[in-house]
Amino acid sequence: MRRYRVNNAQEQAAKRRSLALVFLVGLLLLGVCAEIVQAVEVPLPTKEDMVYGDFPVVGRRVAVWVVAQLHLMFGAFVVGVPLFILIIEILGAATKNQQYDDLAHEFTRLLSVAFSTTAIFGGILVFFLIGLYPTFMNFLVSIFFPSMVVYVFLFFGESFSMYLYYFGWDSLKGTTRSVGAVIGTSALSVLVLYPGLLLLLALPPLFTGGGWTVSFPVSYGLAGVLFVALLGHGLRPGKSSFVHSRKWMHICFGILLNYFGLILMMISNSWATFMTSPSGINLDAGVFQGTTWDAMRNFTWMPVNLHRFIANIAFGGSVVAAYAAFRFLSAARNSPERAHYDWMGYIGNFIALIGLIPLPFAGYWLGREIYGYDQQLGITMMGGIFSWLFILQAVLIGALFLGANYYLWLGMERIPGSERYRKFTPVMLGVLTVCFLVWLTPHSLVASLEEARKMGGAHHPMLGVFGVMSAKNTVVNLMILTTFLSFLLYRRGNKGDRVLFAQQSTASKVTLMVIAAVGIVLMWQLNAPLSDPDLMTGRLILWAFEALTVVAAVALTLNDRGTLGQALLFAMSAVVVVFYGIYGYYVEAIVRIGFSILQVSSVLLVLLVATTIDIVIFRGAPLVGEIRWGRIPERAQYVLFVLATSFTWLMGLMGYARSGLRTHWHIFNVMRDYSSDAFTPTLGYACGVISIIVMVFLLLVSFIFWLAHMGSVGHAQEEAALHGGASPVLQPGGGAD
Amino acid sequence: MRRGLPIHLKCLLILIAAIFVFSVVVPFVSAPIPGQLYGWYVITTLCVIFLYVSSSEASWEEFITPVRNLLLARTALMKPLRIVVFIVVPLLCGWYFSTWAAGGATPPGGLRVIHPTPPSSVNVQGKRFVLQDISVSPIREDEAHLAEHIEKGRVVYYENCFFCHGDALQGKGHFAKGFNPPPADFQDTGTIAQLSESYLFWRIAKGGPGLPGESTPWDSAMPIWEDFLTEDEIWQVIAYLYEITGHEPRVMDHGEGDGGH
Repeated sequence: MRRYRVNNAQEQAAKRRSLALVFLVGLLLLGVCAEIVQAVEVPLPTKEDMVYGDFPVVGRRVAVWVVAQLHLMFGAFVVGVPLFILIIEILGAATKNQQYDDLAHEFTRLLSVAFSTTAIFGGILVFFLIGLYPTFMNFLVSIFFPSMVVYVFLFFGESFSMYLYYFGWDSLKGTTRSVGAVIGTSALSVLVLYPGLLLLLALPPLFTGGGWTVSFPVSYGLAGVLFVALLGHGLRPGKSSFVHSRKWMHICFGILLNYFGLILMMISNSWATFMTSPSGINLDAGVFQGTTWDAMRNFTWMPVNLHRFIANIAFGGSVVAAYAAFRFLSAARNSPERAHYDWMGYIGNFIALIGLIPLPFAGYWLGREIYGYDQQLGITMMGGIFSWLFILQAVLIGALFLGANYYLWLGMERIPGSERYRKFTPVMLGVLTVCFLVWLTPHSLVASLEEARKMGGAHHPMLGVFGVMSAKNTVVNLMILTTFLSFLLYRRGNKGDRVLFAQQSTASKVTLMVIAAVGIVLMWQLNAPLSDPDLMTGRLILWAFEALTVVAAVALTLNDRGTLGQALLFAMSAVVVVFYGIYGYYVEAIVRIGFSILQVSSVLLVLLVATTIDIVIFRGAPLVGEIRWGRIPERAQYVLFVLATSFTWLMGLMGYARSGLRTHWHIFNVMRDYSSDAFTPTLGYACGVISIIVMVFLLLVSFIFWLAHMGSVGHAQEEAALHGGASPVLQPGGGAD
Repeated sequence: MRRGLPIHLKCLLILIAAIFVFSVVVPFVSAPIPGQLYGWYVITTLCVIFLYVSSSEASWEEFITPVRNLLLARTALMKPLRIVVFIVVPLLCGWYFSTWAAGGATPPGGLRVIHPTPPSSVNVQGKRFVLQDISVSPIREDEAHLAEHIEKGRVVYYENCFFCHGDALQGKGHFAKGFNPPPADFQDTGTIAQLSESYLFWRIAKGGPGLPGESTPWDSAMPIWEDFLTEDEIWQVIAYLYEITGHEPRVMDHGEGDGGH
């Protein structure tokens, strides 16, 4: 009895302590919120105030550059890979394919080491910045300190959700009807669905021309209603649903982990983008005036957030694919491991491609916003000293597109029946080559005096035309269309005769109609310049052309001529892309920029409708043969290394461009760099530093892979010892199609 | 089964066709391609040919088998052929690279920046202009007299700019041949069509000596026109340039410090 009382007292004390802790944390968070909305006035340091530290051999700039870039690459890795894992886990849960689940689980082993490496580089970066640029850092911290406190707390959130996600993988399976679990799952569901709720609330005013506005109190109310509805649904006796699913709870932890990662990324992005496009600065008074939030929501913040988010998907996928390639090459020929890693490489590459396709457009938006913020920055980037980096970028992106297509073509080797589509490979390669040649042609050429005279200037009279944005936009859209065509052919490689449309399920038919209708409505939204009546006629013709093509494609599908419908869609998009590419030369810059949206929207329309048609027409089609995973030429695996290296290199290259644009400014046009490193390095030197960073990163990632591999071997041995048999081997099969 | 051309012949034909286009067709239609870009094009073509032959196992085997046979000297004929190849190929490479490394009397091509970065503000004739804040030329605000301004700009052009930039504004004036780099071609879609009027104002007012410190040397013979022209005359000649070429000056968006634009 006494013992019970002691325990009870201890429990009461523990409860009180927990409550006090929650109360304190709540107070702290409120304090931080108050700080964020509290306007401050921070004086700009003068030249005399500026203090710099020294770093041996390479100097302060290179030291910070290397550490910051490595931190960013690992940061991208720990944001990109959980996103990859989550996509694969959801895919596995939706298709009930255990192999996806195992693949996702395999990759969670990388996370803890990758997280600690990211944190180590983050710590080194902070010390380097404080030691080498103390005055500048003091100024930044004076403005951003509240966001830094939030950052630290979010880091806790990310770590804990990561551990819950990792350690809960095996235990969170099956279903449960316990009240606590239902409450927990309902709360988690509301948390993860809340951003979707905000998006839904923002959509109606967007369509009615009211702009991007969200009413937060309404969203809280709706979140509450959602919680009550989920709880009621969960507690009601009857059939089990997702609220009872432990797997869904686990997926929620994965989504939370990604939310934390993304918010962390966005907060640190705001510090970096403030240096490029500062807001809240009163130059006449020589002070920053405003709140932390004012400084955070600077001009280039959102474009950088979006660009990095999409890039992280592509990066995560490509790194996973490279890991799979390494394991494929290490495994014995015709072994089940080879089949597994071949499949993993394919999935990684597939996710990377999904990220790669919209990436140029997000980059284009960022570039446009940089130009919009300050023409000096824009010209330095695209016409000035940094423009040659974009030629290197073009070569690497071209290599990515060529490599991704080449991998798909080689992948057809393992698909019985794909021989039927071989004849298209030379044509697609030809289109990609022409596009690549245009893509890499600079506007101003490196030419000797003799050559320049023959050309009549620094621009080639014919090829110079390929150097401007109209041509670049046109070819990148054509490359995307070609890559999509490669994927469609790959997808249908082993599919036999199509099932007649009349025999397809009602759900398939309705889905096709709905997607086509959504596509047409979206085109209206993207094409119709409601505010500019001068452009109305042209845009209406374009919309009618696209809408009629979609209707024709659907009609052909209804008549069992779906492939012809798809061809029609491709042709429509190619015509739109080429037409606006040529027309772009005859209009002013501001109109030309608008054309890029028309070009990309037509490509996205094809991606949307043609994919749906493909899924519908090949649904239930007999297979010519099963995919022979593992039977892909070894050179395909080296392509996966090339893709991962290109992505990493691109990140280094473009990271330097984004940061280096400020030239001799710590904060552009606000705080000058008075150190001996204020000069902009030569392109050769910069590329050398970037290449070294890429090599160091790849070596460290290889080490992490090796650690994870060692861990998995140890785990398999323990499992084998426990079960008194051989370790289980995954069976090849499935795919992203 | 229909058999096409042997794969090696196909590759050779593709290479010859590409080189023919780069070396003959483009120069015939327009102008010769500078060496560096020509090199990029040929290397890309070679890479693509490699991708083509290796994109399927069948074509790769067809391509690689004779090479493998040659390297392993599997037949009696292959042995002497291998010796010849092992001697001739390194010699050819050596000859090519020694010729390339030796160089010549022609100076190498330079990596030129075409659009120098403008400063945020300039002082012209004692007046400060914040370039970012000038979205359109001040004379365009006086729409009633715009035609008059353009006419005055034409006079300014022919009295001052014509000698280098030429009658057709293509950078082919009487003095053009004396300059390296040649004067700007305003008709080109990559010059003034890409720029705002405030940019041109800075370039004309400050000329070659006013170019920024980075990406030097600039080698610009452009005089400091603020020493010879009034502010209005500079704006007028800018309006004339856009009027006569048919290009629209670029208008910049302006940031209000609002993330998510």
